[in-house]
Amino acid sequence: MDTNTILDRINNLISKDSTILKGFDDKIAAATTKKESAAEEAKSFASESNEIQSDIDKIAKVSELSERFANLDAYLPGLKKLGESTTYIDKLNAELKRIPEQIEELENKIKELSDKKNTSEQVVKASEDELSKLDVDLSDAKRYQSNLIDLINLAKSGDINKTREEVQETLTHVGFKDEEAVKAAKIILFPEDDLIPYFNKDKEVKEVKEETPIDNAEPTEKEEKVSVAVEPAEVTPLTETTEINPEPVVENVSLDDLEIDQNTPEIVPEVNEIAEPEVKEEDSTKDILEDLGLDASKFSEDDLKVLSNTNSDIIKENVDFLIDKDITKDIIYQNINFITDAEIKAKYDYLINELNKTKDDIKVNPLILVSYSLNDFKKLVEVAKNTGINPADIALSIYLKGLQNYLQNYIALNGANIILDSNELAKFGIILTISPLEFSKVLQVVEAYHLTLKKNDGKVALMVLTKNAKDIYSKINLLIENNEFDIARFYPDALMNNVNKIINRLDFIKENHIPYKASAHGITVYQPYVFNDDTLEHIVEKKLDLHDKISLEENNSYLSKLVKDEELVTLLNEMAFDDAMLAKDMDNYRDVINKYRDVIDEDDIKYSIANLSIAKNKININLNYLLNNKPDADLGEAMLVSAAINSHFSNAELDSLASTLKVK
Amino acid sequence: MNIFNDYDINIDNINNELKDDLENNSALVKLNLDYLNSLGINNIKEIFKRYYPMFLMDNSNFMNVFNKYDKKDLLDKISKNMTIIEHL
Repeated sequence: MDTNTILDRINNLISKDSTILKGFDDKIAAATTKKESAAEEAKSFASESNEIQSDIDKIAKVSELSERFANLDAYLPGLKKLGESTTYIDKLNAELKRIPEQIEELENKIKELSDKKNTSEQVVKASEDELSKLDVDLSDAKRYQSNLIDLINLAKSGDINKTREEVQETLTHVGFKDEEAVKAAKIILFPEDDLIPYFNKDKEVKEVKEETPIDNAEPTEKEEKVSVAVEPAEVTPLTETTEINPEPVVENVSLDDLEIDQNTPEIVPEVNEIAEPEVKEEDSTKDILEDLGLDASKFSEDDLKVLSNTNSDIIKENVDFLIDKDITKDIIYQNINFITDAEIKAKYDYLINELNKTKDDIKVNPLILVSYSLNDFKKLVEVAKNTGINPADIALSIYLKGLQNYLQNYIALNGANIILDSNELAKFGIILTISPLEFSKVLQVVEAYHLTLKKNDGKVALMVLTKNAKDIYSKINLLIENNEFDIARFYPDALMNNVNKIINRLDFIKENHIPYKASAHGITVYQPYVFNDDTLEHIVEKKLDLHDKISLEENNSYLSKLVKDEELVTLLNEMAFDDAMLAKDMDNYRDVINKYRDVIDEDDIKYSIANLSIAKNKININLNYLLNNKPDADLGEAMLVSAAINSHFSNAELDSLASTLKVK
Repeated sequence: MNIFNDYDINIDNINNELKDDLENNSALVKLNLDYLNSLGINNIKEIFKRYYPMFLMDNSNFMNVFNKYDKKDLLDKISKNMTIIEHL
C-alpha cells in the first residue's frame, strides 16, 4: 500500500463517510429488515393460527351435537321409512363422524403454523442479538474513529506525543493490518513529509470546491479575492453529541463575523482583512474561557477554532458542572469534548442514577463522560442486561475499554460451562476484557482437559485465564505425568503457581510416606503442605532444599539419543502453541494408538504405557503434528518422542518406554 | 506518581493487557490500594499479587466488598487467609 493510498484511507476513516461506519449502517439496515420481515411473518402465522383455532372451537361445538346423534344409527332402519329425507341424515351422520378427523387435520395445521411462527421468532431473536452486537461494535468503532481523529489532529499540529505502539494500536483498531499499520504509523509520526501536505492539499481542494458564490451570483471583484477556510469535516468526532451541532457563537460578534457559520463556508478576505474576524472570534472564545477560570493558552489553535464554533452556553454550563464535580481542568485541556459535549450532565446523571456509580468513581475515570454518546451508552447497558449481566457490576474501566471483548469472553466462558456468579463478575470482570484471541487459547486448554476451573470452595479460579495458555498446558501435562491431575481439577488456582515445586514437594512427601490426599464422593482433598514449602517444613520440622530430579533439557537430550531421527525432537520442541491447538483437532494419531493398543491403557485423560502416565492430549497433539509435518516418520519413534518430550521421566523410565514401543 | 513503587508492588510478570490497564488506571488503583491501607490491612502486597484485577473495580464497589464487615474481624480473617476475599 503506497503512501497516498494510506492517506486516502485515513482521510476516509476520519470522515462521516467512513467505510467502516457505512459498513455498520448496511449491516444494521440488513439486520433490521430481516428482523421486521420475520416479525411480520410470525404475526401472520399467529393470526392464521388463531383463525384456525376459532374454526376448531366452532367444530367442537358441532361435535357436541354429534354426541347427541351418536345413536342415530340405531334409529336409521325406522327413519328409512321416511324416504328421501334419510339421505340427508346419512350425509349428516357421515359428516359428524368426520369431525374428529377434521379437528386433527386443523390441529396439525396449527402445529405446522406454530413451528413456522417459532422459526420466525427465532429469526427475530437472532436479528435482535445481531443488532445488539452491532450496536456494541458500532460504539467501539465510533470510539476508535474518535481516537484516530484525535491522533490525526495531533499529527496535523506537528506536535504528536504518542509512541509508535500507541499509534499502531489505534490504526489496527480501525482495520489496518500489522504491516500497513507500521507504514501508516510512520506517516503519522513524521507528518511533515506526507500527512501535513496531504491535508493542506485536501483543504485547498475544499477551498476551491466550496468557493461557489452565494445565490449563484457572478463573483464580484471583491468576492473573487475571498477564500474559504473550512475546518475539514472529517476532524469532527462522529459521536452523537457532535451531531447535535451546537449553535455557533453569535453574541458579541460583528456583522462581518456573521459570515462564519458551521454549515456554510466561512468566507474571509485573503489579504489583511482575513485575520481580523478570526482573531476577534478566538479572542472572544479566549475571553470566555478565561472568565470561566480556564487558561486559554493551554488549548491548541485547532481546539480554539472548534470552541469558537461551539455554543458558549454549553461551554459555560459544562465547565461549571465539571468543576462542581471536582473534575480537574487538566482533563479539559487534554480533551475539549468535555466542554463541547452537550450531553455531559445527562451522561453524568445516568452513571450516578442508573449504574450506581459515585462522584469519586467518575472523578478517577472522567473519560467515561466523553467516550460514548448517551444513546450509545444506554444501548450498551441494554446489551449487558440482555446478556444477563448487571450493568452496575461492570466497572467504568471496563466500559472505557469497550464491552466487545468483555461480552465475547463472557459468552465463551458460558459456552465452556464456566458460570460466574455476580460477585465474581463484579470483582474480576476486567479479566474478560483480555483479547478474545488470547482468552480463547487458555479456554481451549481448559476445555481440552474437561476442567471447570471450579475450586473446592465453589469459586472459579478466574485468574488462570490471565496466564499463558502454553504454560497452563505444560503444567497440566506435568500433573498428569505425576498422577496428580486432581490438583488441576480441584485446585485449579495451583496452575497459577510453580507446578514443578508442587511436584518436588510431592516427590519428597511420597518418598517419606507422608499422607497427603484423600478422596471421597468424587472429590479429592490435598493437605496444605502440598502447596506450601513453609507448611511442609513445619510438618517435617526441618529445612528442605527440593530440586527438580531431572531437567527438561537433560530429558530431551537423552530422548534424542534413543531415536534415529532427532528431527522429531526438534520439530516438537519448535512447535508453536497455535499449531499445537490446530493439531488438537486432527486425527492422524488414531492409527498409531491402535497399532500400540496392546501396550496402552487409557482413561479420559491419560494413556498408561510402561507404567508411565502421559496426557492423552499431549500424545495425540504431538503425533498429529509430527505425522502432518513428517508423514514418513517411523511410527514407533514418533510415538516415543510424542510421549516423552518435555517430560520429567528418568533415563531408566525412558528406556522402558522405548523398549515397550519397540524403539531401539 | 508511581503507586506501584509506593506499595512495593511489582507488576512485571502479570498479563500484559491487564498490566496496561493497571498503569492506565493508576489513579483508580491508588484509590483502592489506599482504601485497603486505611483499613489497616498489612498484607496488601500479597493481596494485590493474587487479586490484582480487583483493583480495577470502581472504588465504590471495591469499598463495598470490605465495608460491610466488622473491621477487626475482617483484618483477622484476611491476615490468616486472604482467599476469604473471594467470598466477601
